Amino acid sequence: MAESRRPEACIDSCVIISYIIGGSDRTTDDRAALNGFFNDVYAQNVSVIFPTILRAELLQCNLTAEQMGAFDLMTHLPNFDELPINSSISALAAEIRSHYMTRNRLDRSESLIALSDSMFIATAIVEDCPKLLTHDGDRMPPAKPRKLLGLHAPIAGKYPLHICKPGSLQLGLPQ
Amino acid sequence: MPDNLVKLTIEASGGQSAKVVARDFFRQSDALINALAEVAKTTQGGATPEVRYRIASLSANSPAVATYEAETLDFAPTVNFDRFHKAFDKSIKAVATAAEMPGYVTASLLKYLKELVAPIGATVHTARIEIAGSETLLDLKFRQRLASIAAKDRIERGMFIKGTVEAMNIHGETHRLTLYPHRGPEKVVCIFEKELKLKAIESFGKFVRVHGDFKYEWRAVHPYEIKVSDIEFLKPVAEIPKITSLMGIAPNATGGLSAEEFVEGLRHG
Repeated sequence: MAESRRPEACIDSCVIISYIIGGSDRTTDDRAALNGFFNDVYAQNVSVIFPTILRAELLQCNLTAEQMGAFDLMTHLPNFDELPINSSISALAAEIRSHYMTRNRLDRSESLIALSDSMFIATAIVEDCPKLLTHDGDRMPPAKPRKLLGLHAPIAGKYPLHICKPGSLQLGLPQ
Repeated sequence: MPDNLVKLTIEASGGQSAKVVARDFFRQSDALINALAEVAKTTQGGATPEVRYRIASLSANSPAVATYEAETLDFAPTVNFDRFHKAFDKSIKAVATAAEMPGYVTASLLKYLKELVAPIGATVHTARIEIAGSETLLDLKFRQRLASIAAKDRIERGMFIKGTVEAMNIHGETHRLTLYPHRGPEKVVCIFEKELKLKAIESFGKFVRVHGDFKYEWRAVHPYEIKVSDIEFLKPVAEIPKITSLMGIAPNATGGLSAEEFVEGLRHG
């Protein structure tokens, strides 16, 4: 059988942002896992995608041109792939938001999903990617209505996407 | 019938004694094999199936009956024929009866099925496919139903994709190259204007990012053709700085917030 052309993970903006701030917001174990994950990316051991929204959110970090250039160079790696938002992703993001909105209205059994969150989820699903890596909900105050790490498969009642924190192959992760 | 067998029965128009036109037989056989390969590809997550079909038996008497035996290519991992033959049967039955086409019915599958039923109503009266213990009748009604499914291409503007340029045709007024991405579609045909000809020639054999308007088959996730607006040259991997150079590159980027708090602020205000 030919090698699978599916990406292995889709990353959320907070994963790359945590990396560029040095993982100072993570526990020692999570920092090691984050480092291991990006080392795997550089070694091309893992195929990673992210929607172009990540770039927009990264720009909000007020990075210098040089710092942004360093990120741009990373996207030259064949296995680190920025994806434009197309109509398939937008339509699925709408479907996902609609699913949780309906459930929320019916019996409050599910919380709402933010637009950007739904775009990351939809990108992973459309590209047939098994994992979405995020820190969202890892160490946050409970004010936010929906944390990505609190979402479990099947997403929107039917998609088998696993949402978890980043890990490295060397450390026996991802989780 | 064993899991790896597929039987195609073709009944010529003109009564029991009528013989099948040779060209139609080969056309329908070819279309069936292509349709099978398309379903195998879909069930394998987009990878090209390393499967071929041999003729196990052939009968030219009307109806013409061909039995094909699926086998895995040499040195390739064994394929679960039962699984993908069942998927094929499910797909063709959905085309025949479903009120709304399910997601696993692709534009390419419809294209091959249309080819398969093209002679029906003319030189061919009916055809039957037996696969995975099930039979599907392909008749004029099936052909009309296929024709009624609106499966149009769509175009998305301002897209981009990375890959290696490995084929090119710049003969005469033709300006096209073939991009081979590392993931997603196996290849994408890229059509460019003559203004980009020199850049395209320079891109041959290189890893690039192609920008432009993407053309997708009905329901397809990945494009099959790009109208190129630009070709961006990417650094060879050996020239990309080690990724650890990004680690801690901007320690104050979030103003002291954790990454998730920072992103939370962007997304929820």
